Amino acid sequence: MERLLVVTSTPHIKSGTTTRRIMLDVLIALTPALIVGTVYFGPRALLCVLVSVASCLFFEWGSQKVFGRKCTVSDLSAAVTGVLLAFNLPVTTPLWIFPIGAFFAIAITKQLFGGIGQNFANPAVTARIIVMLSFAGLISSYPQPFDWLNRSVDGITGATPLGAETAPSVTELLLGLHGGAIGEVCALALLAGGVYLCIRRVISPLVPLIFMGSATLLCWAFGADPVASLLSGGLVLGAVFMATDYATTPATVLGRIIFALGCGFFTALIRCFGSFPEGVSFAILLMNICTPLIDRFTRPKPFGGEGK
Amino acid sequence: MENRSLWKIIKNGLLDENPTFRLLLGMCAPLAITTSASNAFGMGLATTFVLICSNAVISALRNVIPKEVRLPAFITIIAGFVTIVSLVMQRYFTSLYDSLGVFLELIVVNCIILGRAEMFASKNKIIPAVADGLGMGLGFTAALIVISTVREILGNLSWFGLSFFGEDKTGMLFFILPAGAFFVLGMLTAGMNLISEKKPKKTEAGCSGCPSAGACQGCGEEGGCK
Amino acid sequence: MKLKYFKPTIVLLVICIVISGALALTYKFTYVPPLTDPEDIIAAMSGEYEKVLPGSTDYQLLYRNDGYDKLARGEVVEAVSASNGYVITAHSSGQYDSDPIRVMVGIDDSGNVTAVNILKISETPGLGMKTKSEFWLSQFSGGNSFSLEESQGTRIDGVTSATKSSRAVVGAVNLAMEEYRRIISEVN
Repeated sequence: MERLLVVTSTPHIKSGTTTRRIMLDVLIALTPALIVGTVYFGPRALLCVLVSVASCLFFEWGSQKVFGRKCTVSDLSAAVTGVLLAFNLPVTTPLWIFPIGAFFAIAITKQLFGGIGQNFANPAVTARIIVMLSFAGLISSYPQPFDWLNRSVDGITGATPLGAETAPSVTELLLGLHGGAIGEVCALALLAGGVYLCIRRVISPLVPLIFMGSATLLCWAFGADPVASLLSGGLVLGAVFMATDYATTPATVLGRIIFALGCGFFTALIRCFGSFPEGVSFAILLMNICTPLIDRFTRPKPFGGEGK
Repeated sequence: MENRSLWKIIKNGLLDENPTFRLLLGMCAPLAITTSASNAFGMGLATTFVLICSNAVISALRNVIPKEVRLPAFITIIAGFVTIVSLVMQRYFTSLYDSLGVFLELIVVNCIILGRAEMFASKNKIIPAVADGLGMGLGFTAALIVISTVREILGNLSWFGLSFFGEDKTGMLFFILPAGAFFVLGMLTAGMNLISEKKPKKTEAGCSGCPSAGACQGCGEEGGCK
Repeated sequence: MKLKYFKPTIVLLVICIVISGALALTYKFTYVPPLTDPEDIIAAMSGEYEKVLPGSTDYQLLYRNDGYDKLARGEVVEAVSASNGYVITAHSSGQYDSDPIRVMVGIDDSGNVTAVNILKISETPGLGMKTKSEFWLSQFSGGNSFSLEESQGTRIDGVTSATKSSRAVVGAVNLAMEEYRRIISEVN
């Protein structure tokens, strides 16, 4: 009998959004910060990013082969993790640290738990924390911008603005004319990237704004300079690019608000009272781990479902 | 269970019911002591000794100790043996005693010892109880040594105190820190699960994976009939 | 008054008595009385003294107070004079809960540290225990005042992620140096 009605399975309408497309957008959004980082810290910054990305891609391919899964390197999610990992570390990091970080980010945090979408925490953040705890002595020197042009001077390494005594001016902070990791110094470039992502509907501005706002307010309440708190350190980088990871943030709007408030709270707490100068990574990791709990408590009631 | 051979009882404690990786009992020593393989070995041996002795005594007294006071009686016996071990170690192995610090006394509340006393020794004869103590103790010691090997080699670039690259070099400090302890323990437990339980392969979606592929008069095309 | 009501108590009592007896016996066999006679102390420790103050002889025990065996924190517990300097032992302070670190400092006639040795330490291997290594302790040789920051005296590089232990040892060495200065001023 001739088949007159052909039914295929869902989905029936496709919008053209693929993981690759989203990741490409993120990479585009990261490009301004990458350019600024290379200009400020020299070609070595670009080299660090390339080594990091290459290591992440390698470990993604390798671990998917080991686990017998389909190779999804081309969806560029590992590349994004690579760039973010490099952005979190200073340009003076020895190059062999990047593959180690990539291993913990991709093979452990992501692939071991089931691949993209199944990671329990943001891979770049987790790897950065592990690397920071392991090699504290090797990655504590944050050179000032344009140091690489003065070859004759032994790199004037200083603490980041969070650790310095005199707070830089607002322009200096916006343009990133202070010491820091490769990608976290220029708040302007990062914010530009964030705006691009919002326009492209890749991320919603809810979490970044609430995160940055609550962290700034609390730092101010605890006695630190609010503008310096906002624009220095990895706050903008973390809030825009790492606290918005789809798999590790709550699904509902209320959940996301709680998540962002929690991140802000812990960032301020660790910065002002803890012994680390930077609290963003720990805050994001903590809230990532709390996300299943938040999801459980903010589960929306289905229409017609029972009341509590 | 009563007629199991002694060898089977010992093997049980080593592999199938390894107290650290399977029963997940007595976890504070594997997390705290395992930054150094020699400390871990010493702790494991001390715990094994206490396990064997307390299992033997509790098994011998199993018909004498009334049910109502069994826990206080067990704890008193266990504490007695731990104190004896502690006194002897303080005298003859002072540096190990210093390294173990407060964790030596904590063997008293190590769940393995009380757990096996309750689960096994109080219900079996002396010889099987001693075998169980030996097996569990050896399993515990083996687990401690494996964990501490990983942590010491990766974190301190040494093993049993012998540095590979010189005393001033350190490896990934993360593994020496408490976070690394949990991490290594988790990975090793996962690894043990992986080795012992081979999961069935995931089947593909579509006609080839469908259980009723034979019955269905499908065209054999993936993705549905056209 | 049935026997069964008393049985648990009696059994527990007997068990406690037997175990206490066993413990008393073990204690008797393993007890090492602390040394008090100066000659005994010198005889037992001269090897250690020589290690921190090479080439020294003629040890005179100036004092060894109770804090030595009682593990008192933040105190100088022993002072010994020798032919070419002094050997002073101090306990650290500021440990979380564990026993203090026993630090022995050899000081030569010019008032500088010859060597530092750690006699008793209960820190985490790989972290705090790294302060026991000769490599780390060699930083003290030649100085007479130490700190972890640049502020005063010789700067000591702390062990990564083991700031409290590093600080404790530096504090103990500084304590020993203070005691040395006090002894010298009394002698003159």
